[in-house]
Amino acid sequence: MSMLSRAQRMGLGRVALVVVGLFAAHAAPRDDRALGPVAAVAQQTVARGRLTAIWEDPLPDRGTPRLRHFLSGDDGELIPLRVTDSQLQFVGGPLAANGRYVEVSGSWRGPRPTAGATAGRELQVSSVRYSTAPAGASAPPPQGAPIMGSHPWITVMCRFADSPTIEPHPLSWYQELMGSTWPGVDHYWRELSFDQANVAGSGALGWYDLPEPRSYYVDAAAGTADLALLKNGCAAVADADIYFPDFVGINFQFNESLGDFSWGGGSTLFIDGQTNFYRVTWLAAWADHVTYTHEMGHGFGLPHSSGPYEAVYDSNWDVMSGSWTNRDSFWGWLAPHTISYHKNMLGWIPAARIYDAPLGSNRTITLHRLNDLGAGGDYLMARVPLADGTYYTVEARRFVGYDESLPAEAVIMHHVTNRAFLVDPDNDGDPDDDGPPWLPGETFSDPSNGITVTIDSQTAEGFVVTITVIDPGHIVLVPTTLNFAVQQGVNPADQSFAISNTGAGDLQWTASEGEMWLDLPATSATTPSGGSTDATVSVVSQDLAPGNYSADVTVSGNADNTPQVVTVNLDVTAAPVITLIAEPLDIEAVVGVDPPVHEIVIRNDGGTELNWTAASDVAWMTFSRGSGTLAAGASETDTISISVAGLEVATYTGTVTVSGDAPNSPLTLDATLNVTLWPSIVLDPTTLEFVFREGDDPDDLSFQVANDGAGMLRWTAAADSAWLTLSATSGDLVSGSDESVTVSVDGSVLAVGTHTATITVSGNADDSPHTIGVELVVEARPTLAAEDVADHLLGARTVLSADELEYLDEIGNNNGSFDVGDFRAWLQSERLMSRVRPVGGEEVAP
Amino acid sequence: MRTATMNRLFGRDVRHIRATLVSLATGALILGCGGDDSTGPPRQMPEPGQLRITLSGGSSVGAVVLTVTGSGITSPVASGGASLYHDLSGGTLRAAVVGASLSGEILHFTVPDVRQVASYQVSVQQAAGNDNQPVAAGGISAEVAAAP
Repeated sequence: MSMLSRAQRMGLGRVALVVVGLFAAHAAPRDDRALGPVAAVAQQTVARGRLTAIWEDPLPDRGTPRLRHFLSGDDGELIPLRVTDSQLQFVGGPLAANGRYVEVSGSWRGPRPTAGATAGRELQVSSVRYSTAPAGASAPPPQGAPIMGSHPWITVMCRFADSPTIEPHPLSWYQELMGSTWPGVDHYWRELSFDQANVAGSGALGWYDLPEPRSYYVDAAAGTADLALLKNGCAAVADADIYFPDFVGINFQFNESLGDFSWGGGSTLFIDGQTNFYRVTWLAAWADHVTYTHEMGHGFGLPHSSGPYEAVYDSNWDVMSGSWTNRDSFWGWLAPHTISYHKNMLGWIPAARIYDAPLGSNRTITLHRLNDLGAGGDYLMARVPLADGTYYTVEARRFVGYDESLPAEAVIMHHVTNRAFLVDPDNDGDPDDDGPPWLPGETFSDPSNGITVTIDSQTAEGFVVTITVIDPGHIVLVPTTLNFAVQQGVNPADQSFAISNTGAGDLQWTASEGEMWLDLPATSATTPSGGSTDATVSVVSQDLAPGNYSADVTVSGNADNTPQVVTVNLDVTAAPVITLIAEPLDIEAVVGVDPPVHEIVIRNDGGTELNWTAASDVAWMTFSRGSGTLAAGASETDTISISVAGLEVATYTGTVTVSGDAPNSPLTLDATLNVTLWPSIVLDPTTLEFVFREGDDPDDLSFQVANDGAGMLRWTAAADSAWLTLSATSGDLVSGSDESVTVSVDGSVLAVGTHTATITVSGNADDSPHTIGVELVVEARPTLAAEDVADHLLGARTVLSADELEYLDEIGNNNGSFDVGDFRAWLQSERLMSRVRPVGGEEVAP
Repeated sequence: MRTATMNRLFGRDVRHIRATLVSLATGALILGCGGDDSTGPPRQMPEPGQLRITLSGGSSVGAVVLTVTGSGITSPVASGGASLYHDLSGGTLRAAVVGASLSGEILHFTVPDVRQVASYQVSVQQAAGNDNQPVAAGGISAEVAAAP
C-alpha cells in the first residue's frame, strides 16, 4: 500500500522524463549495431561503473549455467564483460567486488549476440581495478556480509507489446508468492534464516505493458536477451506506481520466455531521482517457486552448489542447485532449504553452532537438522579441514518444512572449494541416488587427508556423528636433490632419499613424478611420527640423448607442509651405444646340408665412435667380418654361417656375443640349431579339375601338404596363373603333420575352353619341389531362343536337348527337372524378364 | 427488319419438315425389327469383349503356367507389367506368366461373347516363387471373370 501512495505522490509527468532519459542512453549502442559488423575493429576504451555479477540459469538442457560479469552504468546500461577469474583477482575475486565501482580497460567487441548478454557489444577486459565511487553513490549490497533483518523486494510484472493478453499467472498469484504465508517467499526466507532475515514489505504489481514487442528485447533465435533493456523498460512503465528506493531487490517478471534463461544478481537502476544498486532478477514466464527463490538467492549473493560432476542443477539437496523433488499443482516446483555452507555464508548459523574439527581430533557430536535452530544448542554444521585449504561440511537433513521432499533423511557432506560440491561416494554421476546420504552405521573416509566421519545414530532431531581428523605429519626429505651422471646407452644405479615424519601424527604419503625417464618402485606408504622411510629413485636413461635433464619427485600427504619436492638432476654424456638387430636364430638344418647364412646388423646409436667385435661360443657358427668400427649413427651387416659338418641329429645351442667399447657392451643373442633328417613333401591330390560355365566362379577345391619325412618342413607354394589363388603360400610342418590349402579360381576372366595351370610346392625337402596339375574346363552357355524355351515349357513343342534342359535347371532351382521356376531364372539371366515376347502363332501386344 | 423475320420463319418451317421425315423413317425401322420377334422368345446378340484371369492364394508368386479352355480365345495380354509367353491351339490357351510378384489380375484375353464367361475354365499347371523355387499349384487359385 505504501508504494501505491508513493506513486500517487510522484505523478506521471516525471515518469515520462525518466523514460526518455533511459532510452536516450541506449540509443548509441543500438545505433552502432545498425551500422554493421564492427567486431573486427578493436577499439580501446576505459569504462567505469559498478561490477555486477549475474547468474545465468537456463531451462534444463537449454544451455550451461554460468556466472557472468557486467559493468553496470549509473545510466542503467549493462555492458557485458569478457573477463577472466584471474583478472578478477585484482578486485578480490569473481564476487568480492560485486556492486562496487571499478575501472575496466579493454577493447570493444561486437555486435555479437551472446547468451544472456546484451546483444549490443562486449568489452574484452585487459585489466580491472577498483575505482572511486561518485559522490552521493549508494553503497553496494555488501558481499559475504550477513543478510539479517528485512529486505523487501518488489515484483514488477511486464507484458511485451505484442502479447498484451498473455499472463502466466494473475497478479494475485505473484502477490501471494511474495507473501508471508506458506509458501510465500517471506515465509520461505524466514524459515531458511531461522527467522533472522525476511523480505517483509515485499509485493507485486502488474501487469504493465512494455512499449516494444518481445523481439525488441529478446533474440529468440539466439536464445539471448538484453538485460538492460528489459530492466529499464519494465521499471519505467511501472514507475508511476512504485517508489523503487523503498526496496532492496526487484524481480522483473515477464510474460513470455526470455530466450532460454532466467537471471539473478544485481544491477544499477537510475529511477525515482536516484541511482541505486539493487538485487535484481529477470524472470521468464515459466518462473515458479523454485525459480523465484533460486534467483533471489543469487540476488542475496549465493552461488550454485551441485554434485561433483559436470552438471550444476543436479543436486536436489539445495535450492541453489536442482531442487526438483517437490511438485505443487499451484506453485510449481517448491524449493527446499539451502545447504549449511550457504546459510553460514549469509550469517544465519551462529558461530557456536558450527563445529570446526581440529587436526588430531576425534569427537562425537550431535548435528541438529538444518531446518531450524532447535532448542538444545546442538551443532548445525561441521567443517572438516583438508590439507589443501579446502574443507568438508557435514550437516543433518530431515523431512521437515521446506525440506519435506528431500531425497532422503540423512547426513550429507559437501566439499567446499570455490563453491560447494556434494560428496557422492559411488561416483556414478547421480548425486540424487543413495550415494550422498550417509545413514547410521556408515563411515565416510578420506585417507589421504586422515579424515573419517561415522554416522553413529539418528536422533529425534538429527544425527550423532563421530568426526576424526588425525594429526598431520610433517614431511622432511633428505636429501632434496639427487644427481645422476651416466654415459649414454646405460642406466645408472638407483639412488634413494629419506622421507622423515617429524609431525605429531602418522604421515600417509604418496610420491609421484612426471617424467618418462624417472621411476619410483614405491609410490606410497605410511611413515609414523618420528619415523623415516627410504624412497628409491630409478633413472631409465639408456634411450636418452646426451644432455642434462631435471625433474621433480613430489611427496604429498596429510602433512602441514605438503607437498615437498626432491629435485632429480641427470647428466647423460656421449658414448658409443651398441644396437644389435637380428632375427631370432632358430635354425633348422638337415644332416649333411648347411642351412642358409643369417645376417645380423650392428649399429652405433651413441655419440662417439664404436669399435666392435662379434664372436660365438660354438664351432658351428662363424662370422664373415667379426669386427669393425662404426661412426656415430652408422651401421654395418655381418654374416653368420652355419656348418653342420660332423653334427648328428640333435638340437644345439650357442650364443652370439657382440662386444665393444660402449657402456652397454656386451650384447648377446641366443642361437638354436636343430639338425634333423630330411623332411619330405607329400601332396594330395596331385591334380585338380574345375568345370564350370563361362562367367561363373566355380567352387573352391583344396589339397593337402604333408611332411612324411623328418625334422621341420618349411614349404612354399605358388601358382603359375593369375586366375589361381592359394589360401596359404608358406608354412612349417613338423614331421608327420599336414595342412590344407584352398585353391580358388576367378572364372570371370577365362574364355570358353580348357585351361591348365601348375601349383608348385617347394621346401627344404630332399624331394622338393612337387607339383599339382590344375585343369579348368569352361563350358559355353547354351544359346537358346525364348520362343523355344517357352514352347518346351508349355508343351507346344519339344525342342530342347537334355543338356539344355539340365543347364536351365542348374541356373534355376536345380531340382532335377525343367519347370517354370527355371524358366523365370533363365529369363532373369538373359535380362528378358520385362519384355513380352510372342510365342506360337500370333503376335501379342505388350 | 421485316426481311429478317421472314427468314427466321422460313428456317423454322424447313427444320420441321426434316424432323417429320426422320421420324417416319425411324418408325419404319422399328416396325421392321419387331416383325421377327412375333413368333418366339427374344434371342440376345453376342457381346464381344474381354475376360480376365485373377490369381489368389499364393504369396510371392513369381511365375505360373496356366491352361485356359473356352471358345474363341484371342489376344491374350499380361497385366501389371508381367511377361507373357503363350500357345493358342485347339481352343486352349496355355500361358506362362512371369513377373516380379503376381497377384490379382494377371492376364486378359478377348472372347466373342463375354456373357458366356461361365463356359471358360482355367487351371494352374505350375507355379514358382520369387526365388524361382517351385510352389505347389494346388495352393494357388485362378479364376475367370468378365473384365470390368
